[in-house]
Amino acid sequence: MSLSESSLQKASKYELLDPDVRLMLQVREGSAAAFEALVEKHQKRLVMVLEHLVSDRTQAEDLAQDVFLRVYRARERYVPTAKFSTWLYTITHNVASNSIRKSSRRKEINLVTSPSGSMPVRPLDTMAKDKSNLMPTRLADQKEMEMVIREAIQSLGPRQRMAMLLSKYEGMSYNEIAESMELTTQAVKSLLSRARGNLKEALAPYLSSGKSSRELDEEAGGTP
Amino acid sequence: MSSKPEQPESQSGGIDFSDFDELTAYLDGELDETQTQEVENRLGRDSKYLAEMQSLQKTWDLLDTLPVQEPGGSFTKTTMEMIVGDAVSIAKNRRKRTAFLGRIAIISLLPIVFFATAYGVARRLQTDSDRRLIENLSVIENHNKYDSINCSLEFLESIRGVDFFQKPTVIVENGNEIEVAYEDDSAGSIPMEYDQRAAYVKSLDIEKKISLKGKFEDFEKKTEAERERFSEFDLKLQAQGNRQQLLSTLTGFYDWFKELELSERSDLQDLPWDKRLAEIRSIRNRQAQNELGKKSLVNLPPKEDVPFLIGWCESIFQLKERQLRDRFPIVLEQYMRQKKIASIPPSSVFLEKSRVENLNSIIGFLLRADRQFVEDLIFEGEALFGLYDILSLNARKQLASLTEAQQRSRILDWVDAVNQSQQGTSTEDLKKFEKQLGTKVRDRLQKMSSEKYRETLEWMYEESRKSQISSQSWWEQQIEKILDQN
Repeated sequence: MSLSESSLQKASKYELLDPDVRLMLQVREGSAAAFEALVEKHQKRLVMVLEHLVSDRTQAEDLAQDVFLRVYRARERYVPTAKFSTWLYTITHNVASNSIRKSSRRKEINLVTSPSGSMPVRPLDTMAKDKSNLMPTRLADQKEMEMVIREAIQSLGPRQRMAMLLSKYEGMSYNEIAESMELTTQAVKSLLSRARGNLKEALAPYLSSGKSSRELDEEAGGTP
Repeated sequence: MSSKPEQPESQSGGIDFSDFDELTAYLDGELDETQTQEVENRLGRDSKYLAEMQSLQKTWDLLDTLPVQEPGGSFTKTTMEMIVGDAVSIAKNRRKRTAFLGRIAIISLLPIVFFATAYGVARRLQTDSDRRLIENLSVIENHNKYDSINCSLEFLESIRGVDFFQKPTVIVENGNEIEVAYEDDSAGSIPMEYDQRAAYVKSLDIEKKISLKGKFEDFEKKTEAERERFSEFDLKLQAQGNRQQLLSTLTGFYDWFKELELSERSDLQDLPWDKRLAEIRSIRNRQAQNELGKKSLVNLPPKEDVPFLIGWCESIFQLKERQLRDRFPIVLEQYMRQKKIASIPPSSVFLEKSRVENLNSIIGFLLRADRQFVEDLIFEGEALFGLYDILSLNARKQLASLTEAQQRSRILDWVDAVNQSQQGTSTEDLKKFEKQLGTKVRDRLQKMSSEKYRETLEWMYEESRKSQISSQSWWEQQIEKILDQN
């Protein structure tokens, strides 16, 4: 089978399989409504993924718009060779990587590394304890837990974080993540394994007791 | 980057690095059946390994507690404006380069300006156009279909007898009641009241809204006289007692009609309606012969025998229609019980389904679920209802080389192939069906090669039509089996 036949077959498969691919093909034909539909459908999760990647809501929204702009600019060349979301997150990965690279040039970031030296892991329990001192009531526990989880996600390296977000929140398979991040499936497997391990380690105090750090502190210190 | 293994020691706790990868892949559903079995066996006997897995899963679940915030309310609007602005500025920059390039830029600017204008105008005029759309919803939704039959109710009635155009029926749950409804009956469900219509349009999903918008734009381009003609026909159709059935047939006909070549379509429309019907049958037979070659069946009849077999099958099954329709509800009910489908409808529903179901669908179902019955039906006739007389020498030679039991089986295979070619599954039907499947099922389908994917999807579609299966977990199991076989 020739390459073009194979691409055509793929294209028709994805056109049939993925409604977003069909929308994108309408965008290619100049449909504003189809593009608007894609923006509406994907904005929420895209912004969420980007927020975890760059740790800033406003910047995440700006980057999400940049992603959509790139999708739009690429419309004339668009040929569906994967699910639309796979393509969208390939662009997202590139946009986020560029942004992280630029901001890392601008400022020094001090990261505590893991014993292996490869993983930037911050001592989450310490961070959580620091933050928990700011929480005046038990009602803040849920907020605190969210903060701890966000910190745990932040503690992952950018590639681990991206792989984890695509797996967890986009429900992508290893193959799809590999395609989005331009890695091998084996590399994705390894990234996700490490991401899960790091998260488990960071969140271990909460897992064993099911309580937040504030509750743990209260129990340990006997303070009300 | 360190050359040492990247797993921190504290993570392993007696579990080594490869175990950790394996557990992660297990939790992500990325292991094959053998590997999954191995992991599960170990989980049963190794408490540390089990604790590690549970801990990983709990961590993963903890991430679900994070709330997902909506982007700012104006996100879509500003994104769209940014895109329009960006496109215009790109075109403007191009224009500045040279006079020649400037002219090109103006030309390239036109679609962008059109895009921007259309977007802006569409937003401003939303209320006016929405009103026109809602008022004429039924006509807008169906005017292409009405056009395909030249707005002739007489012709529509005549094609109702052609099995191929009758959409299969489905059993639907309506509150506590279970009833038989016609598939693809969206037009039939358009409410009469303006407010309800507005709510109906609002409730459509994005794809349907886009499709409706396209039809609306198309409708608005028609002349005043044409629009009136469609509206009159719409009123006439709405007044018919068997409106639902007629709409179902019309949809079946239109799906088939729009796939024809332009010349075929106009030739067909130029014929008086009685001759048109004969021509439709002739085109269908020709298509069936072509489709036969595409079916993934092993025992296809010789090509030269196909037209004769189509005619032969048609006459046999017309002759035996009563027996086939009587047998169908009994076998369908048994089949649903065997498949352990949770809610089995009452017998009256099966009887109604048997009455209205497409005869080719019934035959297809019985050939799979009760092949013996069809065999007895065909072979009870003297000399197979003259089958040998119509077969080519080639076909007869094929049969002569087989034992009697093999001959029967081969003839049934041919009947099956011919019957399948008469059913026809359109891509539109498949697309619609595929959209109803769960994410897991779709993901698994995607792992297949394109050919296998289409074949499996067609099979699933047929199965769901025949047995009303809608359980996603059942499909998941079936697809797993297919993937395993591969």
